[in-house]
Amino acid sequence: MKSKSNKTAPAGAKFTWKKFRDSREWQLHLILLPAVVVVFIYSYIPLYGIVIAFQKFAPATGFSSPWTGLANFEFLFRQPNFVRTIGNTLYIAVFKLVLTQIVSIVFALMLNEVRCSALKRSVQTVAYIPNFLSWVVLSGMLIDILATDGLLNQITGFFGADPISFLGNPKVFPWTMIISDIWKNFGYGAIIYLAALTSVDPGLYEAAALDGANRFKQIWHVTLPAIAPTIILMSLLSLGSLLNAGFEQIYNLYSPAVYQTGDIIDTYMYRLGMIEAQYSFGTAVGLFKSVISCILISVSYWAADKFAGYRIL
Amino acid sequence: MKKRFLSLLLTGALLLSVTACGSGTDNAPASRTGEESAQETQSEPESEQESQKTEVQTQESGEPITLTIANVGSSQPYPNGESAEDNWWTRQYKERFNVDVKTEWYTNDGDSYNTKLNMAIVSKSIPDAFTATSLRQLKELVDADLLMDMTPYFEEYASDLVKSIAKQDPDTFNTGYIDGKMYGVTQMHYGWSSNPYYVWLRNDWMEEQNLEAPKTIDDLVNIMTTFKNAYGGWGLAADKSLYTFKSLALAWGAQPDIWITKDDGTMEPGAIQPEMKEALAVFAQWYKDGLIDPNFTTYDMTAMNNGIIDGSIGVEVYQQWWGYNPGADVVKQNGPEAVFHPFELPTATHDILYPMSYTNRGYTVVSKDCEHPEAVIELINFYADAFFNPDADEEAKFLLTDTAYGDYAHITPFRIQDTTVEDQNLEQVTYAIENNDPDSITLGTASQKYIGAMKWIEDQDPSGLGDYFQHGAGEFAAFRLAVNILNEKRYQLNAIWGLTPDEMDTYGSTLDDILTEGFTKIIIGDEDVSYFDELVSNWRTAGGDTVIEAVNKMYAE
Repeated sequence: MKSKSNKTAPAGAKFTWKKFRDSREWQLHLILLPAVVVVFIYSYIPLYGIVIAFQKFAPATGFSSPWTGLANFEFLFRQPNFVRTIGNTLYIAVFKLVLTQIVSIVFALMLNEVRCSALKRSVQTVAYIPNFLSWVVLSGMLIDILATDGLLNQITGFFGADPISFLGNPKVFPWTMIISDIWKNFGYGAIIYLAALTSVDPGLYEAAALDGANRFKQIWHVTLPAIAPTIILMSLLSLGSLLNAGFEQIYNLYSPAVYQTGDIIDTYMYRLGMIEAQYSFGTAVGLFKSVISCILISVSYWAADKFAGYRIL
Repeated sequence: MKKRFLSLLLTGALLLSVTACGSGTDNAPASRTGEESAQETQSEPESEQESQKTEVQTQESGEPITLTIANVGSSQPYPNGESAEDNWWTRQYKERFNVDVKTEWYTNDGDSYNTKLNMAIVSKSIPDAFTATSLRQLKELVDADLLMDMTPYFEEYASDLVKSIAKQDPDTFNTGYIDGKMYGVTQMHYGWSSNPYYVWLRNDWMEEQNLEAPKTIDDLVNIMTTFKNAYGGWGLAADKSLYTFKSLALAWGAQPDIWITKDDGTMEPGAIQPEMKEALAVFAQWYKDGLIDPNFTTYDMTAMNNGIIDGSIGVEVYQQWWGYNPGADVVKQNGPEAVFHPFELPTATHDILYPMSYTNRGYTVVSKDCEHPEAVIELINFYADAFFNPDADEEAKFLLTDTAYGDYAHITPFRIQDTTVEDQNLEQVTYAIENNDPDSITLGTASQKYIGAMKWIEDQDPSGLGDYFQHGAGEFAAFRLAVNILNEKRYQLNAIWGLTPDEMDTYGSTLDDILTEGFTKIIIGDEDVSYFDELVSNWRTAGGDTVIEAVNKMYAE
């Protein structure tokens, strides 16, 4: 996978317009052009709005609002409630990323061992369905199911457990978020691994079986090494979203009672920036988050190359 | 090389889409397009109407006047297939004043209205007339030099009725003046009688259990406990905003919703005073005793009302509009016997002083490029006539008696609210019901309320319950309770009236968050009530002291 295309690509050495015109790639570039234009208009031009983070922004004065330097960032980091959102975000996001990976892989491996293809496909579909429901809908259901007198507590209560306030107890809340997010997303994650599994050469399993390997040994020695690059790749790429702990989910399920452990950067930014119309602070939080995300994406891209041999070029 | 360039571009695009979303700057392109369309619509009237600046009242004169506006509606749909652009009001404007009102943009709720308006302000493309929703917004518009000074037009064109409304509460009306010029025509408010919270108690349960109206908090606890024991569910409805508790805290002399002036003359928020601590200790005990649904910290108002609607809770702290929501659903679900009656808040250690804060529906502002500012005043006159003028022509009042044409469907820039109207409605509706004399009603609003109340009284139609409990329920009419409160001067004014310092807007939500979170923790027992002092000192260091200082400085001047 680690291609040496940089060094060996014939057109890569010297770029000339003549070569470009004569090569048959210019049509491809033409097809790409609309997408590039759209990205430029909607993603690059608005970047100018970052200046708001360094201003005392008011709609009437617009971008010519007075400059305040780093005052907005100073204000943010003096807020005890902002600093804790960074910790909360990392805590929730890390566990979501790691556990979703593990659950997806285990699920894919188990599904791969199922021989009845009708069962396999229906299980896969059922596991995949929650991924299509929006958190707005799901949160309504979860609030009912997870209430102290809700379905889940009635079931655990039947076995004598005390009711747990899944959404109201700050100690439990992050794990409610993590587990419900895994439940929603593991089916989708498993699809990628199932695809990777189909490319494993069946001959390897036959050879392993001849050598006396049982099912578990086959998984350990054949399947896992075969999909290891995919696992590493998926894990590393997801690092870029480390600061996205799931705004939609948490915004719909949290409450002041669980701000302590459940308030993440995005929800804080939303309350500050949108509800209170504090555009400068909202932008400052967003910029802070973007810078960190940018670093994480760069690091994970570098690591993907180094450890999994993956690069875009 | 090519490939590398491409991939760089792609990666860049990927990264930046993250950045762009994260920093919330995708407003820019939207406002750009807004600008263009605004220019298009604005260029039309200019060319047509140079010649007729003063001919508003002569509706026969040929060319119509065009006013572009921004409007905000509600979830309530327009009746009879009409729309924000074409409805009874816009047709009346055309027929009576020869004014074409063109809706430049329209939103369904106040939040998106503000967002959109802010974008319009950034791009400096505002319609001829619209509503500035806050004093801060009005000031920004004036600072950006976008508004017309309405002082001369108001003087010349405003009707006597509108001018008398302005005089009902000059303190509020005069906030529309900046540097002595009327840049915003203050739309005024519904009057203080709309403000108080009451304890609403389920009446059939009260009768079955032979319970008396609660005078003290102990009485209320008795009612909550009795209800819970007899009917299951919970004692008291509450939601995560904690407004239920903040309202009941008045019984201990706390004023968590307003700023108070302390004995030494300095101003501080009522929420951080020791009286609040006393109240929280009691609420924590209620929670412990199982009177409050432990899930309340996750409920918004809709979720809270579900407990009332499904018949599991019989006590709710609420304002005068209980009959509309959840009331109508309560009787649909549980039958007409299940209505709740309002009572004044019970007392503990102090007599209740109901908090009164500055309110205002907004400011009608006119772009300085508007060709016909006088037409704006004419349309405001018309609104006042239709609703508040006993002598208005019958067509206006007759059409308004269709309750579908209530307050929902009007054109927001062209309104002004008579602050005494709810009190007049109360007297007119009460008289008409007691004497079975609908003809005695002279006001458009009152006849709407009367028809609604009669729907409930005669047909037990749930859609009339809101009007009934506002004005038509005799001693249980919420406004009757309010009038008593106001007549006996049992209220306390917010020490902050109108203007707030910048610091307050900067810190506002973060500080409120700290208190809401802390109060919640105390109520649900995560923290002992002694945590209150620590909470207040956290609040002060997180910016509370800065705000207190700024407020005191501002009001000392």
